[in-house]
Amino acid sequence: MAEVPRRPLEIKGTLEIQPTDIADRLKKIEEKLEAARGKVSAKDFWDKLQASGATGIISSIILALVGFMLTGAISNSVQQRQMELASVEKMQSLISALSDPMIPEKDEDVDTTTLAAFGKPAVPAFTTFLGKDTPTSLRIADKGLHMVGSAHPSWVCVHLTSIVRNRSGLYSWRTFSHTLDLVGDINCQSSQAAVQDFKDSTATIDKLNAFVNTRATQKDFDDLRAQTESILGRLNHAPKVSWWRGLKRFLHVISDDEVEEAG
Amino acid sequence: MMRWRRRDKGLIMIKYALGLLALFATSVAIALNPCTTQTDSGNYMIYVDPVTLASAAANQGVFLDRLRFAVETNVQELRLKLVEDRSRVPDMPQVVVITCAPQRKPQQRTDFTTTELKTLDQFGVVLELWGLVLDTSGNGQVGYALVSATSQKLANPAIYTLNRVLGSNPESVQKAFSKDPVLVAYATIAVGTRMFQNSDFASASSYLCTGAVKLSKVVAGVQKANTDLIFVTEQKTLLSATLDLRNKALQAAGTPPSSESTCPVEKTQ
Repeated sequence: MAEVPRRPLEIKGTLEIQPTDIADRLKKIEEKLEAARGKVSAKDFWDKLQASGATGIISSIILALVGFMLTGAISNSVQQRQMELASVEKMQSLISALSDPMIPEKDEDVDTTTLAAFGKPAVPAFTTFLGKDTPTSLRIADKGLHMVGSAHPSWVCVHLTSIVRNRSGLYSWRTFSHTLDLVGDINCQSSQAAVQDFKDSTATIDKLNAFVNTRATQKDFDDLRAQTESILGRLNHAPKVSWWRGLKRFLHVISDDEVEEAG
Repeated sequence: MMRWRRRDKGLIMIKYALGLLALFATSVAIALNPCTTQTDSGNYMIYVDPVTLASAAANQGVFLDRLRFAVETNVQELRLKLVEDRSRVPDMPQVVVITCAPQRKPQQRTDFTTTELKTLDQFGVVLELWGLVLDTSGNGQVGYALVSATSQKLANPAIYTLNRVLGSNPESVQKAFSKDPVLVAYATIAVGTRMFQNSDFASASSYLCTGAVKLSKVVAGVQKANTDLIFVTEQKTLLSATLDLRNKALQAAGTPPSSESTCPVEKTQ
């Protein structure tokens, strides 16, 4: 086989590299680079805070604040309880003196006023007097609850509402009568539904006598009926408590010693 | 921030006490001491307050018993009538005379506040009687608080005083109280008024008429003596209101107007 002589191959032409492609690719690389740099520089406040190590300090401060508040609340609560217990001891002699149905009027007035000065802790004692059904005890309860109710109406109203709602035969019709008077005088808006319910429950004298421990006469029934309607009318026309005050009451955030609005 | 809760609790209590004492200082002077621990049990109660004598040597307990006896003698006729009426109204209440504790001493009409009268009314008291010996010669004053008549608005309030010679010792006071036509008239009107309030209209018309007749006789007597014109004027107003209430009772009872239903006192007016 004849050997084919080798001869160099010559390629002729030009290598055309288009400059636009390189420029585009370069541009894209630069953009990506720029975007990556932007991400690095756009750290949020939290990242920076974490980076700076301030989070530890802040969390410590918050923890200290919460601790302080909790300690204060617990301390206040304990002190309040201690004061209530001390009040009970001090109130004991007054309650004992006022329990005498023949207590002279002068002593009765002074002791009632002094007992009322204890404020909220005295309310259960006055509520008990309201249920005793003697002229003296009812007078003491009237005076005392008026006094305490002028500063803490919502507290007193809660107790009055529970009496108005009671159908157990524990109370006399006179207790209901005095309670209704107090509800109207203190403007217990929260008792309105209870008073309406009482009115519905006492449509006849027999219905009333079914749940009172002293039978009411026709006159007593007529008087109580007229009184209930009068109190309901008074509550309906009295100024209503603001929604904000109502919300605060609902959430029980009213300060212990803050003077409340009636309603 | 300093808030109420941070303040001294004792200070707050003292402030409350002072404020409340000032607020109720006016009511201290006019309220009456309690009368009794006795409850009503549905009867018509007449309270009799002790009469303060010029000389304090008398035995209060014995004196109170004598007073009660004197008042019970006055209302005996009324009590018998109430017992008789039980044949018609089986659960007819009775008049009960109760002497009050010595500490209860009304001195004037204004001692009977609206609250006091309301309480008496609620506890079944229809009438309260008190007396004062004003000087050593025995001149005095007798007071009558018609509780049921006040609650029925026969007068506002139906509280009357009458100057009388009571004497200076328990015997003379008892004698002065033992025959008291004013008390008899008032007790009858008070009971009749309470009957009206309790919707016993037939009984009420009868008792109110009887009371009106007795009162008209008292008025005529005082008018004749020409001793107390203010008292006479007040009693005429009460008499008129009593007769009006009696007419209402007749209407409510469904009794048609007739010569029998007319109260004798109306014919004379």
